[in-house]
Amino acid sequence: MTDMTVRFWGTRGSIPTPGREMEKYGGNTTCLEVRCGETIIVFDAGSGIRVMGQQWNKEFAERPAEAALLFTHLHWDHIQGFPFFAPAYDPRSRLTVYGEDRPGGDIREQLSGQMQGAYFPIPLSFMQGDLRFEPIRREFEIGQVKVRTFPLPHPGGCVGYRLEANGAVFVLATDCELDQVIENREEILADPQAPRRFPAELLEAMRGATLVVIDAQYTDEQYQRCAGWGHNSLSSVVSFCAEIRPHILALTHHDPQSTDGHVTAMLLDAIERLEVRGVHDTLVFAAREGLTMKVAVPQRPLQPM
Amino acid sequence: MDTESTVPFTNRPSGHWPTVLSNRPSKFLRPAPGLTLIGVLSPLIGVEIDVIHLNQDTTNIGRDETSAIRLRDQLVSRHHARITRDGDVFRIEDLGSINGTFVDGVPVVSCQLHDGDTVQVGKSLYYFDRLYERAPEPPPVEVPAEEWPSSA
Repeated sequence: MTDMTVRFWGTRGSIPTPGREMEKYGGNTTCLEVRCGETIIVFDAGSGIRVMGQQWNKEFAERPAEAALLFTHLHWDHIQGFPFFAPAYDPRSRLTVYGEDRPGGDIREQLSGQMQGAYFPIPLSFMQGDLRFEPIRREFEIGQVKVRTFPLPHPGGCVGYRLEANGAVFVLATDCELDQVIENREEILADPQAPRRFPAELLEAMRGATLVVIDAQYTDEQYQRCAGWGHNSLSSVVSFCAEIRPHILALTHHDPQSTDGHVTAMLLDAIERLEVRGVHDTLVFAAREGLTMKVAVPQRPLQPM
Repeated sequence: MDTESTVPFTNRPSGHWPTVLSNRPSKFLRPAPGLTLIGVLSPLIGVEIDVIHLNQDTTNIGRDETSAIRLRDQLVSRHHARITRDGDVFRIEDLGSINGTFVDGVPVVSCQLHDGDTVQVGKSLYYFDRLYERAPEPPPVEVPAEEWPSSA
């Protein structure tokens, strides 16, 4: 049976953040690559997609690249790498681009907007690959992978994705602020660490997942200053994970201010708080650039001796 | 890299603005001649107690006797993992092992290694770091006496 794998090419939120203190988790903005057999699905075109494109140029030197590019939304940190995605300029490439239609136009028009006028010297029409643009539907299939979409609470809206193939379930829920839709907001305002009551449809969309990649941008302290900006507090993520209990939980969309030390501290905090809540079977880690893993029930490391 | 910027300022022509940046080795500058960047896996706990020096572009880890790093642990696969070096970037790749390869406790197919990561193979847990090591001296080149430049 074909394994599903995921590779993280960009895990930073909001803006690329180069620097030695961001080396471990990486400074590129959102881009993930999921593979299942010959099927390649890429999520978002943050600055991480430029690095992925370089890798593809080597891998697909002798054969055409064929992939689907799925956008969660079109905020800048999720599209800014697209003009620098070299395989899109290769006439042999075949890319199907999925994104939401917006009042400003369909996905093609929206992506074209950042590649014209004063913004970028090379228009989208210079991309010589076979680019097809498709609106997002609630359910569709890409190769052997079943795709389901669901709305996430984020300013301007954001799409969550659930992929299923060969028993593996991958969920991407980047750029979401779950506290905007919880049913006990007053209670949480009084006690930010209290368990949330989440909408049933959100729980259902992410339940039973093998791997959930979720926005965990803010500590609770940061969230006090940034509520309404569209990103989760760690308490919200912990509470949500305790409800859906995936096999693996990956924290992503790291804040531009969060150094490697900050992200690691948040990770350890999340692990400790999930332990307190009795969640012992979920592998929790902070997504980092350059990491590839199987979307499968994770192996446990042997007890060193 | 602008090669001029790495020239020690004492060698620059007079009138040029002195460059404080020298070609001292660091993790972000090309090392001085004679130094080479290597990866080091230091054992934290496990059946193996030897420090592993990753001083080749490819280092295979496994139980097989042909492995560059041979771990005598029945829970390590014969061909377990491979670490590759590309410039100053080190990556670890699991070779389809039975018991997995872990970076910071996460089972990986492959992963770039950063200073401070833990790497676990079988029952051995290591700490990864990079450092500069003095490169082996090149063999002396014997120059025939008649090729020495004349001092005249």
